[in-house]
Amino acid sequence: MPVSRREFLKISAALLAAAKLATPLNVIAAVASQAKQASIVESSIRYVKSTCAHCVNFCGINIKMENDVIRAIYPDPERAPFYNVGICPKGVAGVFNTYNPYRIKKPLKRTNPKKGLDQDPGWVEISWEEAFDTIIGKLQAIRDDDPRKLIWQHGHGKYLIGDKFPKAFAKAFGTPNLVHRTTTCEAARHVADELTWGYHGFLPDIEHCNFLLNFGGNYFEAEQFARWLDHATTDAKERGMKIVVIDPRLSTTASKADEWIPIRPGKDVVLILGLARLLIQQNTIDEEFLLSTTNATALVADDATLLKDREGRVLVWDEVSKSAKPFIDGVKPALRGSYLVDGKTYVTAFQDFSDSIASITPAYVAEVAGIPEKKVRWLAEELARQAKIGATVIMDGHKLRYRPVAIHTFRGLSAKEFGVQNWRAGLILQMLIGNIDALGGINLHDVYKKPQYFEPSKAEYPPRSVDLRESVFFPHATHHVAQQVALTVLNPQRYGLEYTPEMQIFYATNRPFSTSDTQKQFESLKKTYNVVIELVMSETAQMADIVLPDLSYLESWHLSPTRYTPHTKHTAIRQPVTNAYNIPHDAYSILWQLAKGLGILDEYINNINKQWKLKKHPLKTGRDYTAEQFVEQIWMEKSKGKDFAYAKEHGFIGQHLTVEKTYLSGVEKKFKGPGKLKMNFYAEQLVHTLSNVKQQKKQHRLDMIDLDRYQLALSPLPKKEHGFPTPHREAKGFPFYLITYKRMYRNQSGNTALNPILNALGPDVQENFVLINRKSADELNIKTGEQVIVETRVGKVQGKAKVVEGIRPDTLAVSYHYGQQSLGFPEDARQGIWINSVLENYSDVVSGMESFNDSKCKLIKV
Amino acid sequence: MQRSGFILLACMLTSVFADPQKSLEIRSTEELKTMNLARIAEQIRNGEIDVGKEYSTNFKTGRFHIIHADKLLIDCNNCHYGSEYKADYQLMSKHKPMPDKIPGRLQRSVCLGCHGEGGIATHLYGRSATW
Amino acid sequence: MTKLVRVIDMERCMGCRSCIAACHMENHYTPGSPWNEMVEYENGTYPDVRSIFGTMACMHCEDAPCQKICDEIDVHAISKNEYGVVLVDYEKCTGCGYCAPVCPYGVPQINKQQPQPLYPGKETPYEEIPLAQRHPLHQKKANVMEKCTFCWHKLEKAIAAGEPELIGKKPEYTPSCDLVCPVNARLFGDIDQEDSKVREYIGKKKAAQLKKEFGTSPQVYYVVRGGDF
Repeated sequence: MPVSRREFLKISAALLAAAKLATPLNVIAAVASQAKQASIVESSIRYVKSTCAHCVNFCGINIKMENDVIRAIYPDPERAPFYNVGICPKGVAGVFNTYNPYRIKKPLKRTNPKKGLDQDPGWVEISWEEAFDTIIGKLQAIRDDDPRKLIWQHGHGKYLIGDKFPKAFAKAFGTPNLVHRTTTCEAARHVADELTWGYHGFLPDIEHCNFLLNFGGNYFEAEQFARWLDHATTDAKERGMKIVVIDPRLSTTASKADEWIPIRPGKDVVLILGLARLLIQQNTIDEEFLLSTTNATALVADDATLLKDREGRVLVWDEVSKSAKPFIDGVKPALRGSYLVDGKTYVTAFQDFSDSIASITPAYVAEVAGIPEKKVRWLAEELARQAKIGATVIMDGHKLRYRPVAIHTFRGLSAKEFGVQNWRAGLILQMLIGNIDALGGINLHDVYKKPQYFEPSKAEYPPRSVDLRESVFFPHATHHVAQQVALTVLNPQRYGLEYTPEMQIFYATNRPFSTSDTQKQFESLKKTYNVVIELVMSETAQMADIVLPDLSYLESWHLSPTRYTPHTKHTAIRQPVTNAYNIPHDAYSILWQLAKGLGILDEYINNINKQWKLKKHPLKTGRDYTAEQFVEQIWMEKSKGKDFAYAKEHGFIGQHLTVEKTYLSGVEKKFKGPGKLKMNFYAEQLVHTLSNVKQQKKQHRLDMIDLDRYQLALSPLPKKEHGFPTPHREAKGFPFYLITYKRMYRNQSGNTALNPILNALGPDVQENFVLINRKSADELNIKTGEQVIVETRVGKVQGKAKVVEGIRPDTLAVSYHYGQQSLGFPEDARQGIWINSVLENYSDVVSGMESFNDSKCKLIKV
Repeated sequence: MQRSGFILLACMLTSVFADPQKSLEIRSTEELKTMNLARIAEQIRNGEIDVGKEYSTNFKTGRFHIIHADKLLIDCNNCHYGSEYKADYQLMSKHKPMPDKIPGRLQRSVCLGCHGEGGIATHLYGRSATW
Repeated sequence: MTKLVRVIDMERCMGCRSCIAACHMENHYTPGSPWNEMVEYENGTYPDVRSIFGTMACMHCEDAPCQKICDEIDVHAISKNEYGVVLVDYEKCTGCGYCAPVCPYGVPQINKQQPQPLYPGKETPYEEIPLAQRHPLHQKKANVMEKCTFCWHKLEKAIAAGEPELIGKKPEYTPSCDLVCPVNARLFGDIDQEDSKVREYIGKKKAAQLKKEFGTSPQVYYVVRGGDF
């Protein structure tokens, strides 16, 4: 007779008890033999391979299901050779992203017309039919009038179903206003990459790197690629790689590094240029790389443009013929010097750069950046020594440049008013040592994929879209301008928008909460009809007219985004294991229903095929596809016909890249040698962009365009002035620099604040605090746990102080994903400081990047 | 100072009572006191002194304190000193709040004084003790 | 013989607390009574300072003071089995709390209540698994001592299946905390097995036990720098 698990456990418990647990081997043997005889009815356990979507790492996961309930989430060991070996606490606790009683389970309609963070929206549940009818009615009216009046915004939604569906929808609908969130992440870094080498994204070649210089990147806490960088750098460190972290705060990454250099916030560019000066002065630079692969040899005129021939080819000074020539076979370009061409004097871009940084001595760096002079000199020497300039290695039959030094950063160099210039400086420093696409250097992703990035911006006016991307306001904002939408909605005429936005759909984003100077962000939501698709009642959702529930990443199908490494890439799926609250729709099917209701389904489908580049396995018009059917279709396309059953069983298919692909298909192929385009040591397109901005300002009488600011930001070379963002110059009487950072246990969208496992990881995780150096705290008589007020020119917030040694005495740091305000959250999920609400917004005018790390503040003991 | 005094005392006891068979030479009043302490400890162990049947570590009413404070008359400060654990003290639960009236938290090393191998008290720690 | 040990490499640990989340998920924490905890502190003075991260759970000592005192007072709720795992019998535990102060690592958690709903006043499907269907070590009572069991409920499955040599190798037979670490800072296995990874790791990286002065011979080894974490 079979016994139930309960009885089995009883027996085993009794036996264990009888044996006082002292001789468990016998006990276990006895239990096991009984179990065999009795054929126990156990819980049914199964495992499902999928991909985590809690953050932007997309780790491989193995989900344990017990009687169809998610019991635990483990890393998928099969994914380890390709990306993650473990998972972070958010991933482990991801069960409660799904099993969260505070989730939105039914469509909700607002009954209180007054909107505000302090206003109870008076939600009433409505049917899906009513919700769709209402939304489609609104959309139809807008589409008939002017489809541009609809704004679609997504944040994490991009990774839940992918931005290709919303893009296809926006196209079919006819609105240019689809806005992602990269300007709250690292858009400036991307734009600097694009201006320099024609696409964005890079990774340090950790496997072969010996010296990693990290500007504020924090792969031990959370950021893109973190779940690969964490174990890869740890392994490399054991192998002997040295890590130097430049960060005003002792991050976890800094803690595990060989050197922590606490720099004054915002002054990174000054340090980098100071290092460049030392490298040039000591002649420890990779001339071969600069000459063959970059435009450091281009001749620069007085007006900062480059000398070109009639065909538009950039000219260099040929040392053979002693004349200005395009860099073609037989030409030996000069790196240094000034030259007379047709009666005018030109200097090489390299010379121009060298001259422009002549005053950035170690003493100057020490004074501005607050780093001891000898540390600056040591860093330059170490960079030069470790770079092994001139060394080559044979690997798999290929001769590779060997420069085992890499510079890494995320928001550290980019979340600044001059973010583009900060990372441009980082790229120039690396061109000087020649580590780009070298073995052990930084590995660029899809070099020169988009030639248009080498062109100046037209600096459009009037702006095409509500976020003002690529307009005169943010001429190179190729990654949208998330925080600008609200400001334009508040005053469309100011920016020359030809229409007034009427409706906003937010998908899985808590944008107004996550950007700076947040009061304006929330104010703007009062101006439009808002639909929010969300898991939980976020602050954005609280400002909605209609809220639609969404399925979690453990409940829905998706061809998951994945992260590559320099040596691997993989294609993965996400598959549902449950539907905890029987929610019939997710964003995928919501968009499908909206397109259908609007009568634009075929157009939508055609656009989906375009967006996903479905050629062999396109969707057919005139029929519906479930999310699973779609994922199967695209899996077939992306895996080149691999059986979908394989995807369901393994969750992914991975690939190791060849040496040729990793090291020789980037700058070596696209930029190296005569007759080829060059990597932009000197970003001439910015000079022309500035002319276009000036032209537009004049033509349209744009008084709000402050040309001085644009002139500085659109400089073809980074300058020391880029280390002085507006608040640093203007906020007098605010003695502390204020920076923000991310902790491992939260993200901003709000659902993590409601995760009981994450909130029990220790006594210090349920709220954040103001980090202050012990010396400064002593002077202000502030102790850990005491209430303090942080005051900026924008406003005040109050919270607890935490006195530490690990931060500069002139700097305060507050992590930025606490202090949830939503009335839909229980009190214990609303603790901590909402630091974004007081940050100054001086977005980078080149890229639109938010200046999260530029504010200054006062600290007052309560 | 009380702390080091106590540990010194404990170490001394350890050496004196390491071998119970060995006859003891009493040389000073100080040693006489420790002798008494050891004797009481022994009486508790063999049940001559009843310290109560309730196995509890509750403050004041608990058996733990009855033994250490009431019967052995060990001063509170001998064990409890400092208002919090040092940051690098390797201990779980050290952030948990302590009752108000306890003069200080107890660093476990204090227990070693008496409860190590050869100590006068129950040998909780010991076999491979390295000091 | 089988002697199960854990190695925690503090040089690798980045303090992310995944292992704590995994333990909580696996072992249904009672509020205020975690089985695994992060000890985190700064070492040094600005600017020569570093944060130190170390997780602590039961050390499963060979000479476990908690067991000794429990036996001494004739309660006998704590035992150490042939695999070196120290376990508590909730049925016998009187909640006297003697084990807590004698543990040099502060491990025993004298809980004051049964596990509570994760969302006060609300239920989740996760918590609908009936208590009786849980492993005896997860059928917690109020006012007893609880602590890390090396995930004994997973290990005993290996033993029952006749494959104890796979403990620490197969995920189903490995403590959950040791499965999730993003930087491979944790290892679990049988130190008595000749080719065991834990054995090799302890030797190569010079892993040591914490607070050796107590002579409790813990079965958790730490790779530490400067003799401390």
